[in-house]
Amino acid sequence: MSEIPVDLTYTKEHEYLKKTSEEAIYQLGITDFAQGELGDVVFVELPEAGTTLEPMEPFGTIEAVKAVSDLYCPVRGDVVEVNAALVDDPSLVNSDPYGDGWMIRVRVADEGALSGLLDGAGYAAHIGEG
Amino acid sequence: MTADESTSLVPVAVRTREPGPLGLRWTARVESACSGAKNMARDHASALELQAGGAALRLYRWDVPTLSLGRNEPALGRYDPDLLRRLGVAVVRRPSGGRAVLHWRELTYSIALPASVLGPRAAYRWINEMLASALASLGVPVEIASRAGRARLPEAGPCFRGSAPGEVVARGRKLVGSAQVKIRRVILQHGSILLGNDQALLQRLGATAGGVAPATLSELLDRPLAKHELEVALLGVFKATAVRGAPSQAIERELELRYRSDAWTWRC
Repeated sequence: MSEIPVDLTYTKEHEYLKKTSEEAIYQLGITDFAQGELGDVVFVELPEAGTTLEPMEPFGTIEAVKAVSDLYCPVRGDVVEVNAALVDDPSLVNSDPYGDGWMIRVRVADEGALSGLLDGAGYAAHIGEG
Repeated sequence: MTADESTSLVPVAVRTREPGPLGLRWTARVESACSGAKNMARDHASALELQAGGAALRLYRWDVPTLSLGRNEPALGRYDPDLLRRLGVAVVRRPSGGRAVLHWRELTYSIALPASVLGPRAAYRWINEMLASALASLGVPVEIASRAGRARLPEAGPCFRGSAPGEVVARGRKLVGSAQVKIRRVILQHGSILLGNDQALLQRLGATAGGVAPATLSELLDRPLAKHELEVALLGVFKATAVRGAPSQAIERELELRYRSDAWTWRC
């Protein structure tokens, strides 16, 4: 069974958003289920801080076991920080997807837009682990 | 079969009437040799255009010897565009991951299927098992590599230098090199089934030396491979019957521009 923290918000494309202590700033990464499906992550391509993300437009890519997947942010927002540690050690996505394997921190333009996303139970049902 | 013979292939589409493997309706195209940019555009388009409950198979070749690079594989400073031109080798960057392949005496397959049916790793293994089944039907002594180990980095050298778990090998050497990309909710996997060994040319083009030579069908079979025999075997395992058809021209043209551009090919 995959780890699915109940206090996070999820997309059907297997990203999670985790609220930080700063107002409207969310940490984004891929879920434990997603990293398990992908296998060993060997490369992560992320945007620069300051980039404005549009809903469900690809903002980066992740490569594992010769498989490349786009990364999506479900809502509009500005990238305020990028996890530079992933450049040297992309395997952090596998070992700690909700912690050291985070990808970007985003200032979400409209937090109300997050209400259309999945909660933990909804995501568990989406991946068949509900 | 030589790469030259591929030019006589007639573009054909294949569609199953009943659900095929994985409960999906399989559409297949056997195509004549095209440029790298067109081949990548058609693969990409097949993923974008995939119908609900459907899966798409393409079998194709390349009009000139072509170096294909993985999506994130470093090429700047490693491969010299002038040298490639002088040697008559075209270059294209794939949408998928993995590492460099020299396409010439080979058959390339691509498969697009819904990500909801199989995850990336499961799809990788399942497709390779289907390919192995088709190759075994021709008498090729294939197996699926089971060696445990971590995936190689994009900069780790050419694709056929070594095998990864789940890949199709013969007598311990890689016979089919494959890579994947997830496009929206579709998994696109494509790969090269070697008829002859042109991979050594990669070193002359700039790839690092070393590794084990790949297996090839010409060496593994103790008889000549009849024209289109491999294509027929592959279509057979997906339970497809031949009909004519054509891919979407508008999407393909737009994607071809991207795959033809230096900005994409030499992006890293």
